[in-house]
Amino acid sequence: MNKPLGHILKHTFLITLSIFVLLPIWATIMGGFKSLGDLRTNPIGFPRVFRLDAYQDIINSPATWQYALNSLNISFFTVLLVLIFASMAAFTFSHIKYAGKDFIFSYLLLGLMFPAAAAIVPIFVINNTFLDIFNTHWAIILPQVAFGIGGSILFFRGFFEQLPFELFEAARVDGIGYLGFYFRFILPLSLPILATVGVITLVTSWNGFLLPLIMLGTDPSVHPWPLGLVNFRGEYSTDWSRILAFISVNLAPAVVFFLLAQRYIVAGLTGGAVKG
Amino acid sequence: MAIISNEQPKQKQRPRKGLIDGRQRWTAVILLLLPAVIIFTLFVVLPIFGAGYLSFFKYKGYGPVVDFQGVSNYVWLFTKQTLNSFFEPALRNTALLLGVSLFVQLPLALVCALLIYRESRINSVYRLIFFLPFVLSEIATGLIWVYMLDGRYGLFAPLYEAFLGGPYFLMEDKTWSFAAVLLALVWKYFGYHMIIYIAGLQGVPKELVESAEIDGASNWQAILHVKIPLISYAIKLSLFFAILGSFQAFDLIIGLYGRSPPEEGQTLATFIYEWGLSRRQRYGIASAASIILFTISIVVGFTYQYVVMGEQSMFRRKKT
Repeated sequence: MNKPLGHILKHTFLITLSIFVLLPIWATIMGGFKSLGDLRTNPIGFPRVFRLDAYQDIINSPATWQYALNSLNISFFTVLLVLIFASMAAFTFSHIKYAGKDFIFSYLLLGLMFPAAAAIVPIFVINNTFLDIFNTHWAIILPQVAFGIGGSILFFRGFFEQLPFELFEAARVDGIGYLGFYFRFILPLSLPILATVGVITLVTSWNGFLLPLIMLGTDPSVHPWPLGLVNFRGEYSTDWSRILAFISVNLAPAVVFFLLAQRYIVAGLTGGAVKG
Repeated sequence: MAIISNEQPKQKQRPRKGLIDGRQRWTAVILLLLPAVIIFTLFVVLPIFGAGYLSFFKYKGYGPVVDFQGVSNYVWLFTKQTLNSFFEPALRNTALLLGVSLFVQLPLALVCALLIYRESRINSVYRLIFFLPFVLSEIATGLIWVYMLDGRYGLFAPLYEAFLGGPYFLMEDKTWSFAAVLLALVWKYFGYHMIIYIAGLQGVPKELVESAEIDGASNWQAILHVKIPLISYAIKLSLFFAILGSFQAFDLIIGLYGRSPPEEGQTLATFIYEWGLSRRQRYGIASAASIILFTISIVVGFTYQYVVMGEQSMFRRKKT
């Protein structure tokens, strides 16, 4: 294939694909500024008149901020607990010798394969009848942590094994025990991997819908954002400019976060892809 | 940090036994492991056993579980009538998701990765764009595509007008509505798989590709015989996630169809939700379906790990 032609074909393909990816997002954000008539006759272009009322209503509505706050609360505790529990367990796998280690490691890793959807009925029963946490954020946080632990342990163990072993030996000579070593050396040295695992857990938790749907009742004041989107769609079924504005407000933090943290997101997704 | 890097950091030694007495070690292990093991057992393992137990009962969600039914819930799932109207669409859609994931999404991701894996400014812009949908929630993704495909206000409305002569509502079309799910799936996730491949490709030593080119290999030959074999691990990994992901599709379905998807839009996961926790409150039936989903995932997952991944399986300890 001659070079310039190949070049043109390549970029035509990539630009077409970029349009395919960006157009829906563009149309959604612009749609929030359009009247229904404008949406109908002019779906792609800039709005004929920039109408701010849909966006204003949504930003001024306390419900919007309540959804955001609930999502933050759920994600914060999910991330915190995943980081603590998974790194603690991973430390025993990387630095301590004990009987049954491989078995427990494989056991916790099973979570990567277990489909959350297959567990929802009993989780609902457990939360509802035994723990009595139905309709609270803990009913979402705890299962999310449980399902997030497996993959995170894999990341932490890989990272901890790369830490120089001499450090561990030296600490022991100084009489520092395992727990002290974990808190005073492992954690401070692990900021990059904590950030990576934290960011991935955050995205998963922030976007999660299945568990909130099942564990929360119909009262929207405890609902996180994905549930809010479904509520909103039900409420304004065909008022598309309003729905699009609501989706856009929801997209904004995700996109900003994506731009800021993409390095960690990429690291978190590809951590295992290069090794072989 | 300076102290650490002086002495050969690669060399690793196993901890010498007896340096710290056994009791202290066990206390540490137990304290450190306990939270993870407890929460994992309580919310992942126990529920699977719970589903297995419930699947033999008729249970409405409250009161004691007493109405033992044997395997009748499973039998019911495979009776002709259920199969035709509920279970079969769920299985068929799961297969469709898997098919599109493997034969459309992954090849598209691989092509993109091969085109833009080299470091350059324009390539990182493309990468950013293709990867962007990954951070959006599946619910938001679903809603965006419902709007795109809407017969009256969506971006596709003029196309419907031009080719079909009037408004058309894909989401209400019994035969074709699931195509919207497949479209949204590819839109959201091809960039994710692309990123995995790019990471793999960037790990391919440049000299290998160059020496292949010096030996007269064409672009195609370099791709087929050098690059793709060298990123086989990345490909196997992304296949694994694509396969398990398509068994569990749920959020995207609800995003596109709303809270109660029609028969033709069900997947195994929405089937479990609808029969157990949504309208029908038949926990036994939902649990039996859960066990089927669980069994499929575990059998496929393990087989894949041991047969396809083999030595690279995550369950094998890497020898250091």
